[in-house]
Order: sequence, then structure tokens, then C-alpha cells
Amino acid sequence: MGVSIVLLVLGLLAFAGIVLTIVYLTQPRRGVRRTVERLATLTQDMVLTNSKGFPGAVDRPSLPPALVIGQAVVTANPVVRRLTYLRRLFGGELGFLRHLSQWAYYLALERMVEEARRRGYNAITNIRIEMSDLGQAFGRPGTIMSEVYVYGTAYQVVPQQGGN
Amino acid sequence: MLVVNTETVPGYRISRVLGLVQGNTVRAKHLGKDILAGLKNVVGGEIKSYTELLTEARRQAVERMMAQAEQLGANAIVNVRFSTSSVAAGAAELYAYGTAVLVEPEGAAEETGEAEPTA
Repeated sequence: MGVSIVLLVLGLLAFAGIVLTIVYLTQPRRGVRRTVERLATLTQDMVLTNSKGFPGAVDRPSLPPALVIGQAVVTANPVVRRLTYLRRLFGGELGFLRHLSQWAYYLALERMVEEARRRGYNAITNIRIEMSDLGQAFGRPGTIMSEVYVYGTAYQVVPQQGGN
Repeated sequence: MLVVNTETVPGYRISRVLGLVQGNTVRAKHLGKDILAGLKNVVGGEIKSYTELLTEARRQAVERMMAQAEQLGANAIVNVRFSTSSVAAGAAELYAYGTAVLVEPEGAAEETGEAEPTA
């Protein structure tokens, strides 16, 4: 009787461990997916470009152009961090970190787009993406962090691309 | 697909802006190469394995960016920019981003009137 209870508890712990590991491992990927979905609805009727201008843009907007900024700092959870160290021994692409920084990028982009929308703009031009490594500066040794900084100039334009 | 880092493509006209596209990758060389690179620090000079690492990373990031542009139905990417960072020690991150556009050869269709938004 006592043995079976111990086994049951161990089994439950193992199960919880596996579930937790999967949740941890898929965290960056889920983050990217959720943010991309939100962003898709936000940017439906907007023009985003990293050029200075685009066809159909108006010369005299009713709102003056403004600088909009979005930033995000995302850190890796312990499971991802340990696996990354392991993966680094063998080289190749570090997929978890790729998703981590994609997550930070999309979050930053979302914030920039939100700011532009809130202020009544429907286009952002001249977008620039900057990254830094805060982890090495602020975190404990071995911290993995991704910081992305996105900025651009928001404009108010007539309905997109002269409607064709 | 046309990939350029200028705002326009000579001989082509941008007919439609489809939006920002980007591709990234985080890559590392294996431990052996890292140790050899450390040794190379003693004498200085080019670290071939790291040059190779960045070349691979750049190619992969650009490919991902092109794949994203293709999904949007673009036939060109203009104003491509590159950005690098180091998320973790010993790993190189490369970011490529640009604007996915539809271009057509100059004089192919009627004028739509291009204007840069100015203050």
C-alpha cells in the first residue's frame, strides 16, 4: 500500500515535470505566435515600411509626422537557457534564442504600432530596428536576454496606396 | 526576387507597399572552433570560423526575410538593413529587415503618382 502511494506520487511528479518542461520549451514560440496574431489585426489597415516614403502617401497630412518608439526586453527561462548552453557546444542554429529575439521584436513592433494608432496615425515610415545585449550588463553571469528597440516616423495618410 | 538596400529599384516602379519583412538567426560554432578562436587571439588576424559563421547567418536571415516577403506576395524587397547583436556569449545574432513591395518595370502601367510624405 505504502509503496503504491510513493509510486503514484513519483509518477505525478514526473508527469508534472514533463508538462512543465514542454511549457517552458515552447514559451518563446508561443510568445511569437500570440504577438504575431495580435499584430496582424493591428496592422490590417496600416502601412509599415522602412523606406522614407511610399506611393499614395499624401504631402499635407492633417497630423504632423511624429516619432514613435517601441521596445521590449525578453529573457530566456531556465530550461531554454540550459538547453542553449548544451546546444552551443555542438554549434549550429540556436532556435530557442531565435524565437526569443523574434518575440522581443514583435512585442516592440506592436508597442510602436499601438502608440501610432492611439495618436491617430495610420502609416509608419523609415522604421529602424536596434538590438542590444542587456543580459551581459544587468543580468547575472550567463543570463540570456534579448532587447529590441524599434522606431519610426508615423504619418497620417489617405486610404492605402490610392486604392487599386 | 529583387533584394536591394536602396529605397527604389532603378528601372522599376513600386506599385504597392506590402509591409515590413524581417528574418533573423542565432548561430554558434561548436566548442572546438571556439577554443581554436581563443587561441587565435594570441596571434591576432582573421578568425576564419567566425567569418564563416557570420556568412552563414547572413544567408539564412536573408532567406527567411525573402520567404516572408513571398508569403505576402511581393516580388522585391527594398531598403534592406542588417543588424547584429549577441543574445548569449559565443552566439551571433543577425537580423535582416526590409520593405516588401510589388514592383513593375518602368512604363508598364499607368501612373499612380509617387510622393514622399513630407512635413
